[in-house]
Amino acid sequence: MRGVLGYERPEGSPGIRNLVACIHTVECSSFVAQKIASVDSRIHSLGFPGCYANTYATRLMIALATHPNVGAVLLVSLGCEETDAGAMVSEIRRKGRPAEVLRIQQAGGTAASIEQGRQIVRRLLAEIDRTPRVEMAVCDLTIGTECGGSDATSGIAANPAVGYAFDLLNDAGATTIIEETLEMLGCADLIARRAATPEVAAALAATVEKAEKFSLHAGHFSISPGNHFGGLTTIEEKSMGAFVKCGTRPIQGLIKVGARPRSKGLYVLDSVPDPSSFTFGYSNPNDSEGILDLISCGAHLVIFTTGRGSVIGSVISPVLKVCGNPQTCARMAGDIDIDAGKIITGGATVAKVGEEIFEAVAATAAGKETASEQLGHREYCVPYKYQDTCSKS
Amino acid sequence: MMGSQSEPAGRQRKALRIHPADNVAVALEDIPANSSAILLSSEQTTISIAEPIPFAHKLALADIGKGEFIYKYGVPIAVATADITQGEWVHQHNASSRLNLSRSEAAR
Repeated sequence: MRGVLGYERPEGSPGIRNLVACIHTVECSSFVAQKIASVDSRIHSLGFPGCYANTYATRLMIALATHPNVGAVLLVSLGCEETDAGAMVSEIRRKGRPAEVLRIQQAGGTAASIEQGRQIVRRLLAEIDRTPRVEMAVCDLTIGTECGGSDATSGIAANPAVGYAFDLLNDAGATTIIEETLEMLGCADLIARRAATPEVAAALAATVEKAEKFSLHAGHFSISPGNHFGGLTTIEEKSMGAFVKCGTRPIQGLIKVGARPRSKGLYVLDSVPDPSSFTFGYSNPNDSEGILDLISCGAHLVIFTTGRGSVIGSVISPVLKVCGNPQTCARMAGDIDIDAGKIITGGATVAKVGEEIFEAVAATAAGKETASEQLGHREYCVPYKYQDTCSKS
Repeated sequence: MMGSQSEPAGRQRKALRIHPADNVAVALEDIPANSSAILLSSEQTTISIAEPIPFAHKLALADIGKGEFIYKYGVPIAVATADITQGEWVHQHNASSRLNLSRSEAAR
């Protein structure tokens, strides 16, 4: 990865994109926020639908607003929701991002708010255009991985290839994150053995146990009809195939949503709700939520593997799609960045596709758009959830 | 990848045993009934196949008794819920998770 110029950020890691985040703080302000964002493709619209404030969602939105790929922020508030847009904007500024807040009730309704909001984002765009560029190396990158629409090819093609790329990234000094602890059921021992220290091993064992309790409490495992149709029989089988995405290097620590890893190397992200007096929140209600969780932990880019096929991208960070099912690669070629199906048809080795993924990560960091970016995908999901904030690393 | 009508009868289909301890293999192409699958491993074992095995699904490499574990990736990924004979399709009709949802507290 030579000559990659990132966008300098005051707190440290440079960005690989330079965006304005236009964040609605309640569903009531989402239409106005989307209209404001529509004036320029560098403005990403996202937000939280709830009126009653949720500490988890607020923490997640602040983490996204201060992500390395975000240069400036506009919060769009209705004005009477419980989520405190004023406190949020102060926190975002304190963390080094230019940020403004627009309150629709004060601004005078839809038309006036859109007009004022567009003036603000034009000013913010001019401001981020002046962001200094700095040379970036692999060690400046944080890369997340997740799978969706898995089938039985995932565990033998796409996921091992991503695992190979994760080893290359970790060896080059990158920070890497795997999540979906709900898909670590049945391989807890194997995961604990990968821990860098006994403390991390104990934390990993506890988090997989929490994920199992959550699944039993929720009454289902993280396995869908499409997974079954694609040849996956049980959650343990899906888990084994999913876990190979993170390669073979030691696990340095465990983080929760919105927390940044404290060092280089491989981390496990726990996005499962913690027990609380009022049990609420759903873990990984869809793939977009999981991708956003990874981004909230600083992922510049998310490598997403599929077998059945998926089309999603994300706000804030590019999503690079790797598919291990040759039939899906042919049928959905326009949505897939890396064809790992050639591992199954015999045209390539896991190592060769792993190197191809590593090169694609570098090219995306240098500014090349992924398939989902080109197609304009901007999915996100910010749910109500409870998570405590202790991160063991 | 798909089997086609024009192929010579009796062509061996490919299957992958991921770990030496596994008692199932993954079909690397659709395998029709009354055919055979060759294992892509050092010993190149041939397995007789009585029923169709869809692409990426599992076939039994040995007889597996009801209650015995199904091994894939070298670890138990399921328990047999019926007697399974060599070459048989292994899926939800004859195998299930070792984790028991009947302990679940949710009323879904």
